[in-house]
Amino acid sequence: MSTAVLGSAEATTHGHGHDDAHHDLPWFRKYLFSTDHKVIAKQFLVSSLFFLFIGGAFALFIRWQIAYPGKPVPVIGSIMPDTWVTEAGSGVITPEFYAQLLTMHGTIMIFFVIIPFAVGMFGNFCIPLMIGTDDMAMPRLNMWSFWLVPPAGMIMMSAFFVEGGYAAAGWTSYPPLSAVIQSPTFTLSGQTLWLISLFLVGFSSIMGAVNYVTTVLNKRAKGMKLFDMPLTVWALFITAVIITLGTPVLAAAFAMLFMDNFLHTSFFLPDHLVTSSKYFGGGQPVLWQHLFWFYSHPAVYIMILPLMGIASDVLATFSRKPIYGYKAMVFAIAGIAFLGFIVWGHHMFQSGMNPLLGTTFMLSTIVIAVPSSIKVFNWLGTLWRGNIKFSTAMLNALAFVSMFIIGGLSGVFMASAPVDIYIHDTYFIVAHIHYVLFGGSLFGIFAGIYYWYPKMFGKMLNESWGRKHFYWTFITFNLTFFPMHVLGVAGHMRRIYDPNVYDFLKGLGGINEFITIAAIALGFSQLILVFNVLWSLKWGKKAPRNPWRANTLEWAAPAHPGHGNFDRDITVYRGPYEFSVEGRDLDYWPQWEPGKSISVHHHTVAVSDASEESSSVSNH
Amino acid sequence: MSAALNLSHEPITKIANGKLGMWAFLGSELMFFSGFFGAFIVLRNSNYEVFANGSSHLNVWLALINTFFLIGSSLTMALCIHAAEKNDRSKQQLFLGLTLLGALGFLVIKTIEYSDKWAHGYFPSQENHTLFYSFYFMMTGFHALHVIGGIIPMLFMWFRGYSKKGYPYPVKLEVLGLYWHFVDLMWIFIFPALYLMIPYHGAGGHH
Amino acid sequence: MSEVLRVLDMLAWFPENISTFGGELDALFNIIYYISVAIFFLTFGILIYFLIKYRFNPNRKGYNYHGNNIVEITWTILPTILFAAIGVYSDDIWEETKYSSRVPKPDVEILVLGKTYGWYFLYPGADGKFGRNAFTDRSARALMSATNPFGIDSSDAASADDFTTENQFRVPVNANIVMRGSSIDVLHSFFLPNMRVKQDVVPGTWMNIWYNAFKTGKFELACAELCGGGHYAMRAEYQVVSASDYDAWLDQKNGEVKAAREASVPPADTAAAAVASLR
Ligand code: HEA
Ligand code: HEA
Ligand code: CUA
Ligand SMILES: [Cu+2]
Repeated sequence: MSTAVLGSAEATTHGHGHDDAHHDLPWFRKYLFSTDHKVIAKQFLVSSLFFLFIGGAFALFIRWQIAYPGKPVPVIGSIMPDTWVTEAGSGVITPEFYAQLLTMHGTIMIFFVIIPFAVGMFGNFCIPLMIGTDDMAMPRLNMWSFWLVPPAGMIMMSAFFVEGGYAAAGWTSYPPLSAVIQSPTFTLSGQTLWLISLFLVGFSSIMGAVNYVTTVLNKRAKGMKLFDMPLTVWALFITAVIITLGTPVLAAAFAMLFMDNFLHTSFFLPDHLVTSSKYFGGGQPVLWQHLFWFYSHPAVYIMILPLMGIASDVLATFSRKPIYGYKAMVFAIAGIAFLGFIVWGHHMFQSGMNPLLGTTFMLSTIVIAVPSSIKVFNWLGTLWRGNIKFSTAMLNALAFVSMFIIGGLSGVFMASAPVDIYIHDTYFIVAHIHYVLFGGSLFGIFAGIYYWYPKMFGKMLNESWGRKHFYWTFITFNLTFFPMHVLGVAGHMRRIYDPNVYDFLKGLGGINEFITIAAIALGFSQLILVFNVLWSLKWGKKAPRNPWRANTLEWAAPAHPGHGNFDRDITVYRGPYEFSVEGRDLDYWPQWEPGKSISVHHHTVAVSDASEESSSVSNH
Repeated sequence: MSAALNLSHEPITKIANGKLGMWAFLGSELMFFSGFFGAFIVLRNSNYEVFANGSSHLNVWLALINTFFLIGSSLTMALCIHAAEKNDRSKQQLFLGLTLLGALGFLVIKTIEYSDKWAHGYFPSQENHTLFYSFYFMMTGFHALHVIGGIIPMLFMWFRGYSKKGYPYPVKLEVLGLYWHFVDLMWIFIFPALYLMIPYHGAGGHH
Repeated sequence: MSEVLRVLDMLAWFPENISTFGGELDALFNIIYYISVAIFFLTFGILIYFLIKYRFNPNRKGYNYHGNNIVEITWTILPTILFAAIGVYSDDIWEETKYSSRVPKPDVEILVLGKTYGWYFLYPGADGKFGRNAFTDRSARALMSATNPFGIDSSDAASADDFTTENQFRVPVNANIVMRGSSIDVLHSFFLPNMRVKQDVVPGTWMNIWYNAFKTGKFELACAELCGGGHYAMRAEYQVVSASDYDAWLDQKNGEVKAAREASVPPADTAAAAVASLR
C-alpha cells in the first residue's frame, strides 16, 4: 500500500517540478523527502485521494450490507478473505466485519482524508504562497509532518493481519468495548494498532500546526497586516491553533486507552465487569467520552474551517466582489474555534452524564450556531450584486455553502437535547455527518483543488470533465444522504448490520436500497475527478500566471512556481478582495500592485495618481 | 534564486521562528499533560482510598532530590544561555554540562524508583494499586521521555561545543532552554499531585 | 411520485408515539423542522435568486461593497433570538424528561441490565421491594456474575421473591414506570422508539429511565450503542398492558417464582452461554 502512495506521489510530480534552482538535489530529495511546501502539499493530495478510495470502498460494502443483508457482495464477494465472510466463499460479510468496516470507514475518512486534505494539503500549499513568502518557517519539520502519515496508514491497515482484524468499536472507540479484550497482555490487536496509528497522525497534525502558526505570525510579506490576509489563511491559522490545543488531549486519551488494552490497566474500566478476569476496575467509561469529544468536537471544525476560508476566496473571486463583512468573517471563525472547545458534551446527551451538564452543553451548542449563521449570511451577501461566473471551482464552492446549510440545520435538531433523545445514534446523525463532511468539507476540498490546481501543476484542470464530476457528485450525493434523515426519523439505528431484525424498521428496505444504488453511483463519480487530475497533468492547457484574475499573492508567483515560490519582490498594498473597484479599468486589483485608494461608504475608490508607490492607503 | 528576492526577512514578531514554534509546541504539551491531570483528578476523587494507599508507597525523599535536580538544571540552563549570549564559550560548556548532569541524575534516580516499585509489585495492572500506579507510571513515564528528549539535543550541543568554533547557535540553545523549563515545570505539577497531595500519608508503611 | 413526497414529508415517518412526554418531544422536533424548512427555503431562495439575477454578464461589473455593520448586527441578533427561544423551550422538556429531581414517584420500579447481546429485567416481586442487590447496595456489586447479573444476595429475605426476565418485559398502562439501568459489560443504549426514550447504560453506574405509556400493545426495545458484532440483534420486546392484566401477570410470575423456590431449582438462566460467547 505504501508503495502505491510513494509511487504515485512520484508520478504526479515527475517531469513537472522543473524548478530551476534545484537540479542539484537528488530525485528523492526533490520528490520524496522534499522540504518544499508545495511538494509536501502534493504528497498530501496523493495520499488523501488514495485513502478516499479506500474509505469509500468500505462505505460501499457498508451500503451493500444494509440494503441487501445476507446477500453476497457482488464482484469481489467471492474473493474476500475468509475472516470477512460468514463462510468461505459465501461473499456474505459477518456482523463482526461490518463493525470493522464502519470503524475503518469513519476513521479513514476523518483522519486520513478530510484532515490531511483540508489542513495538510491546503495548509501547506496556500499559507506560504498566500502570505507571500518562500516556504514554511520550519521546512524540515514540515516534511516530517507528512512523512508520519504513510507509516500511520500502514499501521492502521496492518490490523488486517492480526487476530480479530481491524478495530471494531466505531471511530469513536468507546470503552469498555474498545478496551475489554480477551487477548493476553502485550499483544497487538486491531484496537492497539488503531491507537498507535492515530497517535502518529496526531503528532503529524501538531507538527504541521506549530509550523503554520509560526509561519503566519512571522513570515508575512512586507506590508501585509493580519487583516490583509485572505480568509483561507485566517481559517487555516485558527485551525492550527485548535489543533495545537485540542489534539494533545486526544493523544493523552489514546495513551490511556492504549495502556488499558496493552497492559490491562483500567482507566476506563469500572469495577465488576462480567467479561474479563484480568482487570481491576475503578475507572470510568464516560471519562473517555469527555476526553475524546474535547478533541473531536473541535476536530469537526478543524475539518470545516479551512474549507470555509477556501469557499470565501472562491466566492469572492468568481462573483468579482469583496467578501461581505470581511472582519465579521474573521471574528466568526475565531468565535467558532473558541466556542468549539466548550460544546463537546452535545455528543453525550444520552451518555449518562449529569443532565444538568446537558443543559449547559445544549445552550453553548446553540450559541455556536450563531457565528455559523453569520458566515452563511455573509456568503449570500457576497453574491449579492456580483457578476457571477460558474466555473467548476465556483460550483463546488456554492455546493459547499448550500450543503453546509442543510447539514448545519440538522445539527440544530441534535443540539436540542430533548430532540436528540430520539434521534441520537440513528441515521439522522449519519445524514448530518455526511452533509457537513461530504457536502461541506469535501465539496470545499473539490473547490480548492479546481481553484489551485493551475498553480500547483502549471496546468488547467479540464473544466468540462470538472463540470461532469460536479453535477454527478452533487446529484448522487443528495440522493444518497438526504433520505437518511428519513431513516433517522423512522428510528433506524446507526451501526447496525441488519435492520430487518426489527419490526419497526421493516418498511425501510426500499429507502435503503435506493440509497445504496445512489451511493454506488456517487462512488464511481469520483473516478471522474481522479481521471481529470491525471489527464490534465499531461494534456491540460498550460496555466497562465493568474488564470482567475484573482487578487491574492499566490497569483503573483510564476505559473508553476519552483522552490522559493516568487520571482519578484512582494509588497502588499491592500486587502485581498478588492474586486470591481471604482475608477479602475480592470475588475480586480491584486494585493501586490501599487496604487492609491480611498474608502467611501464601504466602497473602495481608486485615486488616479497611482504613481506613488510608497504611500498606499488601505481600505477597510 | 530566492536569495535575490526580498522575501524572507526578520521575523515579524521579533521572536525567532524556532522560539515561536517552541512556544506553540509547549502550548500543545501543556494540553497533553492537562489530559492526564484531568483524568487524574476525576479518578482520584472516585477512588480516593486506592490513590491514598498507592501514594503512601512512594518515596517522597527521592522525588524531592529529583525536584532539586530539575530545578537546578533549569537554573544552569538559564546560565548557559546567558553565557552563550555573552559569547563566553567555556562557561556555556560548563553550564550545559551541569544541566546534563542534572538531567542524567534525574533519570538515574527515576530508574532506582521504578525498579524498586517493580520489585515490590507496584505496577500498572496490579490489584488494589492498579489505578494509582497506572497514573504514576504513565505520567512520570511520559515526563521521563521528555527528559530524554531534552538530553539528546543537549548531548549533541555539548559535544559540538568542543569543536573549534564551539556551539555557535544561542537561539537554538534558547529554544532548548524553553523546552527544558517546561519539563521542569511539569515535574513541579506532577510531584505534588502524585507524591504529596494525598493526605494520611504514612497510613501504609513505606520504605 | 407520491413515494417521493412521502420521503420529503419527514414527520410522517415517526413510529407511533405511546408515551406521555413523547408528544412534547415530537412537537419540539416539528417546531425545529418547520423553522428549518423556512430557513432552508429562505436561504436557498435568496441563493438561487442571486445566482440567476447576478449571473455573468460581460457588460456589467461586480459591486465593490465591503459590508454594512447594521446589516451584520441584524443578522447576528435575529438568529440569536431564534436560537435562544429554541434553547429555552428545549430546556423545559429536557429537565422534565431527564433531570433526576424530576423523575416521578414510581408506580412500578424495574431494574434493567444490558449485556452482550440482550437485556435482563428485575422485578421486585410479591413484596414490591428489591432485596439486596447491586442496585440497592453498592457493595453487592461484587456478587455480579454471568449467572447472577444483578448481584442478588440470596441470603437477604427480601430478595427471595425478586424475579428476572430476559429479553422481554411488561409494564402497566397509565403508570409511572421508573427503570434503573446499567450494564454488566460494555456500553449499551436502552432505546424504546415508540416511547421516545433513549438512555445509554454504563457499567458501574445506574441510570434513571422513566416513562408513562398511554396505550397498550406490543412494542420493541433496541440497543442504540455499538456493543460488538451482535449489536444489531440486541433486541427485546415489551408489552404495555392494562392494570388488571399486569396484576394477573405479576401474580402468575410470583407463583412461578414461589414454585421454583419450593422445588429449589435455581432461577432459569440462559445467560451463561450468551456471556461465554463474548468476544
Ligand atoms: C464538519 C463537520 C461538522 C460540522 C461543521 C458540524 C456542525 C454542527 N454540529 Fe455536528 N457532528 C459532526 C460533524 C460536524 N458537525 C459529526 C462527524 C458528528 C457525529 C460524530 C459521531 O457520533 O460519529 C456530529 C454530531 C453532532 C451532534 C451529536 C449528535 C448525536 O450523536 O446525538 C450534535 C448535537 O448537538 C451536533 C451539532 C452540530 C451543530 C449545532 C453544528 C453547527 O455548527 C451548525 C451551524 C450551522 C447552521 C445552523 C446552518 C447555517 C445557518 C443558517 C442558514 C442561519 C440561520 C439558521 C437558523 C436561525 C437556525 N453534531
Ligand atoms: C468525510 C467523511 C466521510 C465521507 C466522505 C463519507 C462517505 C460516505 N459514507 Fe460515511 N461516515 C463517516 C464519514 C464519511 N463518510 C463517518 C465519520 C461515519 C461514522 C462512522 C462510525 O459510526 O464510527 C460514517 C458512517 C457511514 C455510514 C453509517 C454506517 C453505520 O452506522 O452502520 C454509512 C452508511 O450508509 C456511510 C456511507 C457513506 C457513503 C455511501 C459514502 C460515499 O460518499 C462514499 C463514496 C465512495 C468513494 C468516494 C470511493 C469510491 C470507490 C470506488 C469507486 C472504488 C470501488 C471499488 C471497490 C468497491 C473495490 N457512512
Ligand atoms: Cu448493546 Cu448495542
Ligand atoms: Cu460536535
